[in-house]
Amino acid sequence: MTKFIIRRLMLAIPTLIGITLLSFALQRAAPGDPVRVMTFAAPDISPEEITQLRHQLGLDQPLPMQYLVWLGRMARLDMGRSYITHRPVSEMIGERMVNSLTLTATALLIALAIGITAGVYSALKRGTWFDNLVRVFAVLGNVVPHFWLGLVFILVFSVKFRLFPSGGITTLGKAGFDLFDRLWHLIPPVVILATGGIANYSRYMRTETLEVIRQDYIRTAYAKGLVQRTVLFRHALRNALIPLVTVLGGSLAGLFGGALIIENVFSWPGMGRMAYDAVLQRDYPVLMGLLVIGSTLIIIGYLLADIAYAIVDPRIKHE
Amino acid sequence: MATKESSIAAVAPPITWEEEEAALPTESLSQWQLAWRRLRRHRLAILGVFVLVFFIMVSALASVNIGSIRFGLAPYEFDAIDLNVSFSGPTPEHLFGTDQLGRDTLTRLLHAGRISLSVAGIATILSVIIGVIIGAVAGYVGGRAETILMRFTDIMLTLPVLPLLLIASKSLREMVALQQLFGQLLSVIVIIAVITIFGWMTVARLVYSSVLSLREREFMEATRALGASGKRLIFNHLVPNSLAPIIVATTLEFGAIVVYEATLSFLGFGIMPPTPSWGNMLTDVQRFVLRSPWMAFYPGMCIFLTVLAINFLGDGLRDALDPRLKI
Repeated sequence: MTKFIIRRLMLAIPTLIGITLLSFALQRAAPGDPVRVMTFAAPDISPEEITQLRHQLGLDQPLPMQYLVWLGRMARLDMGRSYITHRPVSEMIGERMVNSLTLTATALLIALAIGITAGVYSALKRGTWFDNLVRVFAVLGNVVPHFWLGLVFILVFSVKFRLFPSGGITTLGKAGFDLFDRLWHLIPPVVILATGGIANYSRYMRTETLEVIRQDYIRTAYAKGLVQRTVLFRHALRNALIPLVTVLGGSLAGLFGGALIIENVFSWPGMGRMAYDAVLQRDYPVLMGLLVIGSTLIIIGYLLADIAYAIVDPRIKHE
Repeated sequence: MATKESSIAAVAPPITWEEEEAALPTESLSQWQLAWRRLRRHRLAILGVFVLVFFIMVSALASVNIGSIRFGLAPYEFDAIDLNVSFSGPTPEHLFGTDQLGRDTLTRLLHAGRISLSVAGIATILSVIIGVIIGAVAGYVGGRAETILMRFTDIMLTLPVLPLLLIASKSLREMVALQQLFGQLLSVIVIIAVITIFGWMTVARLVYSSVLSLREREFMEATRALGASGKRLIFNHLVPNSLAPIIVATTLEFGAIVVYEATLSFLGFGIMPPTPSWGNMLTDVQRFVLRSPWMAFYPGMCIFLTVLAINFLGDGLRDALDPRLKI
């Protein structure tokens, strides 16, 4: 197992280099110049100053050299400074990650709680109106484009009925930390994010539960005279949950990476929104930092899922 | 021990449709005829087919312009601006209303459907072709090629896809050489390319695992004994035998790509205006939400209904082709 983990982590290094190299090449292949973006507010800047700025940022060096310089700094965990805000990238990402995590973790917990319950229950009550409701919701929740659902939510609940804010993390101009205000802003994006999760998990749990309750050992458990509750929680549910662990690997990765689309629809200042802005503003250091952090988290997420899978199901052995 | 055996004997296994069908007297039908017969009975799948065909037909016929034949379902030109009627609600002249520039929404929906559906269609076909080739070669050849190809697939599957899509589509779109080469069509070609690059992996994995299980079967050995070439073995025997999961995956992939394209275009990284797509028709919705909330309704409904129809069809196909499939 230790060997498996080490090998997987070793594999992460070429992956990260590949991703960053590719995105570096793509960004630089496009015309345009970050110095232009930086000096946009100062049109009277002299050509000498621009040259000097380019030199300071290392933008006058050949491209392969620039990449190696970046890589060398990255190896010392120095992600550089943003071209736009001039703040350290690591600091900016730290702030945004907290915001993203608040959003995604809340949505994930809600989706898991509702999704698992609904899925198991609908499998047990197969063919009833509840089962049909869950199945219809699972299909619709999976099919509907989430950004559009967000737009419709804003239209109905923020614009028409004025129940929720249309975006942001706090009310503008509000000083200090107000828990109620935060929660109020958190609800709309969480609802939309959780919808997809609930649809996914409930469908998954329904199929798995149906599969498990057909097994011989469930029949044996009933035959032993166990009450239904014990059979369900001790025997059925535990086994039905196993495959969900693999699905969770992807969710775990998305937890820190944020939700680019939903964060944009609801102007939520998380990592996804940050990536979107960085692409538009050609803020290369921020973008590269985000890619490294994002990819690392995805790799760790899947690794954790694989480890958890081996723990909950001892039949699985990772070589 | 005894109790277990008796309990198994006591409960008869439920009769599956396979047994049911085997019990009926049937004329000899091919595998495909049987599948078609099962699909026809799947009401939602047939509904899905009708909805899809409807969308494809109306957007294809939005405006036809072949030689001297000129007609079209779209009542206006897709870029005809009329500021006198901007933000109009549904009226007899503009059945679905107009947008901020007074462009007819119905017209734009039809033209957008053309773009969105063909982008998704082409991207789906391309990613399925790439996926099938990579999966089949990795599964059949084995050894080093297998390790490299499937490792690569795994790496591609763990990428932060969305930021990379944004970077790729923005950079490619801004390259002067590509702009000169493709002109107006560039944003369409770029979106097809980036979706394809990041979209072939599911099919590759599916074909790979299917080929792995087929590789050692007797009919493969027989074919090999007859002296068939490797290319022939892969594309005449392995691929057709894994066709069922490929077909199902293709339909579901198409639905996912419709949503992908819409999302990217909505974010401003896909199809660029003035060319309409269902996604980029929603880009300005938030700015004008107070003036015309219905601007959000129609494009979203088009995406939603299309994808829903595809999913119904996909489910039907899965049940019809191979009910044991778990995709």
